[in-house]
Amino acid sequence: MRNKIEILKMIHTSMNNGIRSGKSILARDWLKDRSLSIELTQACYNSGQIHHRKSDAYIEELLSVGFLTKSDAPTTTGKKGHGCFAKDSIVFPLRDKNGDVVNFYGIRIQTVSEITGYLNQEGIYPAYPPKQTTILYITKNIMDAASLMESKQLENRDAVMALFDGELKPQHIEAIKELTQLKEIIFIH
Amino acid sequence: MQNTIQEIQDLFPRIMINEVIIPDEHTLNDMWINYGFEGINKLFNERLNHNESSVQIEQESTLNQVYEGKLEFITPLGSYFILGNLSTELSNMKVSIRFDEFYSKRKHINKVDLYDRTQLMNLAKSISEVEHIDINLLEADLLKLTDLLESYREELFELASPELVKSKNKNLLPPEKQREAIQFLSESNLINRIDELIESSGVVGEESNRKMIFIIASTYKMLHPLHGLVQGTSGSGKSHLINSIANLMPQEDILNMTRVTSKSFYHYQDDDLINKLILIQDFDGLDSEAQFAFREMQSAGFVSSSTTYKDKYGKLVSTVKRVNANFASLVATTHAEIYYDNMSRSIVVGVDESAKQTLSIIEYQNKKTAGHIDERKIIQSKELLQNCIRILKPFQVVNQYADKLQLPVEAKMLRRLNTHYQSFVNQITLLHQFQREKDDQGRLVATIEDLELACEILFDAIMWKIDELDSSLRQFFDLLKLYIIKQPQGKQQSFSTREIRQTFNLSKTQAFRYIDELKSLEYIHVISGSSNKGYRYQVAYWDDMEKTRQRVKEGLMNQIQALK
Repeated sequence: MRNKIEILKMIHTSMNNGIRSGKSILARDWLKDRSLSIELTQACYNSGQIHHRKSDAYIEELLSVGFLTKSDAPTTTGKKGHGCFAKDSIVFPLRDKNGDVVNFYGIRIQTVSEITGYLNQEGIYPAYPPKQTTILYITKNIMDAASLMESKQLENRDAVMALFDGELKPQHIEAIKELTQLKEIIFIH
Repeated sequence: MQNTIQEIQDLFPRIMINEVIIPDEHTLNDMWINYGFEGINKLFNERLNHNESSVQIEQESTLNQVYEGKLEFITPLGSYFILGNLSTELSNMKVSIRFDEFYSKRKHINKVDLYDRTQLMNLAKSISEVEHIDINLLEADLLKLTDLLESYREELFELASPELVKSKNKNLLPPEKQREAIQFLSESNLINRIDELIESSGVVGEESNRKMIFIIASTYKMLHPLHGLVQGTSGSGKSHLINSIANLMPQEDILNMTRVTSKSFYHYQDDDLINKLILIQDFDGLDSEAQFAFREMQSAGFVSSSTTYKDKYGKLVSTVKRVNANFASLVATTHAEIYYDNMSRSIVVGVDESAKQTLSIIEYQNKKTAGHIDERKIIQSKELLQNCIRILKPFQVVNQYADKLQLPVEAKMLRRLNTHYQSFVNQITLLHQFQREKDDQGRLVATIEDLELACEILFDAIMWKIDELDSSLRQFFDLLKLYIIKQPQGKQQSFSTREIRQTFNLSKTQAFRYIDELKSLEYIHVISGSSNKGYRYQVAYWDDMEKTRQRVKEGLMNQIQALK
């Protein structure tokens, strides 16, 4: 069984393919309505079918990172069913200080009220701010951060960090401590 | 959200914190969709400030010295290093400058003249092109660096300038110490009490020599300083003697030289050699030119050299450079005879090399190592003597008995000996200056007591002038005569070099030197033997120095008695 980082990387690749495939029209429209681009926001799409027709070992791996949960849903094969994280959602990756994907944040696109969720409590969206940052923007949630990145208000030495729905996590503080050149923090809420 | 803001503010008090408030019912996404760039811009420009007042101003960058020859200047852009020493020419600031960019860690090394605006701009331009840094920021950094370097170079110049190093009035004693010293100098029996202090400050044995050397050393502040030449074989304790006496003088007035380069005496500044005590640990190490300069300063009181130099237009100009000197000196050497010219200007002192002295030295050394010697007493005695010398003033002295005392005619260089004797008497009077009267011109009056003391203390030195043999040779010859008399054949006994060497426990070269010199002075002669079997010697001249000493001493004492 591969380690967690590798598994999450594999999932991320699959979701990236998902948003670029011809079938995911609804996902791309969702992004377009909000004037967000795939390239700048790193958005991807999870259809929730990643585990369909896959080997037991594969499913084991997905279970281990918490992407799948066991459920009693009926299946065509007769085996036990699984629930998927962020099914039919636009997913944003959160990264750790090395730049590896460690977490996902998903927004359901077809429900009336958008259901959101985090896979775990690690990582920062879009990434740990680079060391030469002088001005740091901190937004309440990931959507705001994505909008800010899209609007290109950021100059050479600015960076964005999204809180976990207004919640400050240890990794945020850790990241700020690394910024020796930091002069200003701007909270957007 | 406010809690979060407060938390961040507490954790990072030095960072400015601002807020951008999105109107209710809206999200940033709405604003972005509806208002685009301009809307977002406007929103951000109206940001509210939280803590501008508590954020502290950033510290100014300064110049640090990493080690000798490398200066460091750190700015937000990166680190600047100045390699090598700054040029002493004040019209330029030519440096080798290395710039380490902060993030990319790339190094740029250049040689520029920071006073040259064009070069500075070119440097800033080349760095800014490679690193994509704003050229104005670089220029500001470089100008700041130039200013800092200028002040740094000025500081170095000031340190090297001699005016700051000297401070004239160092020997101001606190009043109680002054009183103590004056008290000491006002009581009777001064010379003996000084002798006691010398002994308790750690000088072992040499009872006759130490007083004499102390008095010679104390003349350095006076109008006519004296010079002492201490002679003895290797390891006999000459350096130890002069150093221990020199320790009893105020240390700020001592120049202790291990080595003297030939022309250095000609290039001292104004007051460097005025009122100082000069110690030369090994006179044998000086070359002839330095010795010549030293002798001239001893007798004439100055040296002057006629040299050329280039004036500001590059023309050669001649000038006479003069160094004034008024110093007393203590010099140690193994061969006094060789420096015949020097001998005449100095009072020659011979180190006591007898077995008795060796024993007392060993005893003292043992006591010291075992901790039986009171260190505090040593320091106290030293301090008291130093303070006494400090408060002495250079008065003029009149000695009405000067022409009444006749020195023995057998002495060599009688004129110089006479001068020495007169100076010695004067110095004794000066030491007693708190107990002597002054005449109406403010001059100290010498008494018969001073003459008597001078005769007593200087007696050995007078004897060396009369004696043909130098101190160590004389001591050896006396021992040899005692040994020979005890032999079976009495005065006619012959001896070989080996016999002498083994009896007196001398080194091979030492024994050879003694025998050789006595032979050349014809005090001993070869009586038999050959070069390959070894020679046998006999004492040819049974001088009786003892008798001569007695005679001279009586003669002097009688003269003094007659004056009383």
